[in-house]
Amino acid sequence: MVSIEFNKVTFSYQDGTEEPVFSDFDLSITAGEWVAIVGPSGSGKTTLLKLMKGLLQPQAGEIRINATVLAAGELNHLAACAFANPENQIVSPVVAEDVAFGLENMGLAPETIQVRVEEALRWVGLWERAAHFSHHLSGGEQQRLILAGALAQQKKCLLLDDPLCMVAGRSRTEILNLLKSIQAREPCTMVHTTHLLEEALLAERLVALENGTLVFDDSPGRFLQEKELVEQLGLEVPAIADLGEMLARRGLVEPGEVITLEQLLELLTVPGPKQDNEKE
Amino acid sequence: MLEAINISHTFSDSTPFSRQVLNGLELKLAPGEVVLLTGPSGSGKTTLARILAGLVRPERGTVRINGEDLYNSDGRRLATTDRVVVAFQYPERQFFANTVWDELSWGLRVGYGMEGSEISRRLSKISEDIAFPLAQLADRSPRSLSSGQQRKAALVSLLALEPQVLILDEPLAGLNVRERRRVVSLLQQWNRGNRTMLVIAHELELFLGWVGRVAVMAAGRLTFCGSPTELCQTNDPVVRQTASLPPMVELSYYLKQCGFSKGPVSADSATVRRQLEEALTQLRHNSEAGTKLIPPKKEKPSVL
Repeated sequence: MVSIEFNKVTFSYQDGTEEPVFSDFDLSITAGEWVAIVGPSGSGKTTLLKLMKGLLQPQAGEIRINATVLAAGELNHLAACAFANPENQIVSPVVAEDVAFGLENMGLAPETIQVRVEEALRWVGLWERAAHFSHHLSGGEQQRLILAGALAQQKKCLLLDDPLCMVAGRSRTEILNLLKSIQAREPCTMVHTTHLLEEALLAERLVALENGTLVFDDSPGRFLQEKELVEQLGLEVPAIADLGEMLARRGLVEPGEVITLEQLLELLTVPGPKQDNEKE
Repeated sequence: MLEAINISHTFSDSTPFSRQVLNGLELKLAPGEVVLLTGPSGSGKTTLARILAGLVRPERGTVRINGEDLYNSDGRRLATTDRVVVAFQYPERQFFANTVWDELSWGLRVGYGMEGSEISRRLSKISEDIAFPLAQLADRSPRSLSSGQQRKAALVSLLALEPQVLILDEPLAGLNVRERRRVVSLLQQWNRGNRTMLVIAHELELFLGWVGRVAVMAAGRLTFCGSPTELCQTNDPVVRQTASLPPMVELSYYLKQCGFSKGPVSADSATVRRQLEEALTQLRHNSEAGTKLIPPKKEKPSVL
């Protein structure tokens, strides 16, 4: 597994001539953690991931991957990435070949590559499109293809930049739940940016950025309590989590227990003992 | 206003990679109507949008704008598409200028021959409406903006044209909830100005309260086309599945299916909250009476 540490990192675009995105920025991610990063457009989320991958280099400070400083010009080979814009990332005209590309570069045996390509495409629901042209995929499918490419590498660190923003609600939930189960089975460090609190709630830790400054760093459940900050960052407590809070205020559930529709329906189907104890 | 009649389209026809994207699809937008188009990825939404905008000629079928066929018998496209403006799913694909200002003002300057002061007025107004920091970013390259800011820049450039027909392909992707609400409230204002809009989006909760109709696509066809209220009530599991209805609507549907609420399935948060509270009261009441609380599991509707 992979730990990531930012020590007093300063970064600005155009070789330091623009206003810095980050100044003296510190952040430490423990190996095996799932961290969601939220923040308004332009707050530095994508820049942060690019720094973690070594695609951008800080002008000052250091980034340590597993305690080793990432040297200037060196890529973080321990991490696989998926960015929001698939057009810059799809390299092959055929879906399966695109997933295989990264694996071939890793020098894996053809048999291993075949197995992994199929597995990853099945995960994201694209296996039946394996032999299709990648430019025939829709926007949402291209995003899933990029994610498959990252998953197939089976790296111990995944950097995901709002990877499913064009995938419809239900498939998005399915894929995120799948990521969660993969992560539970084979722990890997995950850093995931998103504009939706529903998605961020799946993570163990939530980091909020505003203008390159860390304004929150704790559990997603605690973040929901920070009403003013949630509002300030342009986010909203998901409707179901809001209902969950109402149930918690009445003592029907624990705070933070109900955040998804599944959990709420489960509660309505099999009432817990608390419901019996409840008296007006 | 905008009609797609019996449209079929195949990518790379007669090759091993051939793929039928649209299959006998019909969709008509009346003047001033707003239709939300939704459905799983790969169902053909973007292709339909491109066909309606006159960017792709469909293999079969007719496209009409204001009652006129978009293509004449020689296959030439009519100039009427000037009135239809389309916002792409990936905004960076429409950027060509070196600065944000040139990018946003191009259509007004070159297309409409407008004066500088009028251009400034229009761009500032729209930018303010959707919270795009135009003054701050005017000299930057549009490609250097973050993805959310690119999305907003693209919207400003199109909305400033004040088109009569607007096709928006995922205008909210990459924006946070506050930004989404601002864009949606601007579209709502425009709707009152009697503009026709086709909006492709997955964020149904932001649209069900005000759009005229929702069209749901799956595998190149419409599986549903009707009012938001009809969509919320539908018992067709395929439609519910492909439309990806918001969790609050599915909760309301579940409460109704279980017999907890008598009113219609609602998309309104306050109403659903009230329905849940009523259900809780009933549950408590039943539990005190010592009867079985809950419908047996096998009756649990498959909403998930």
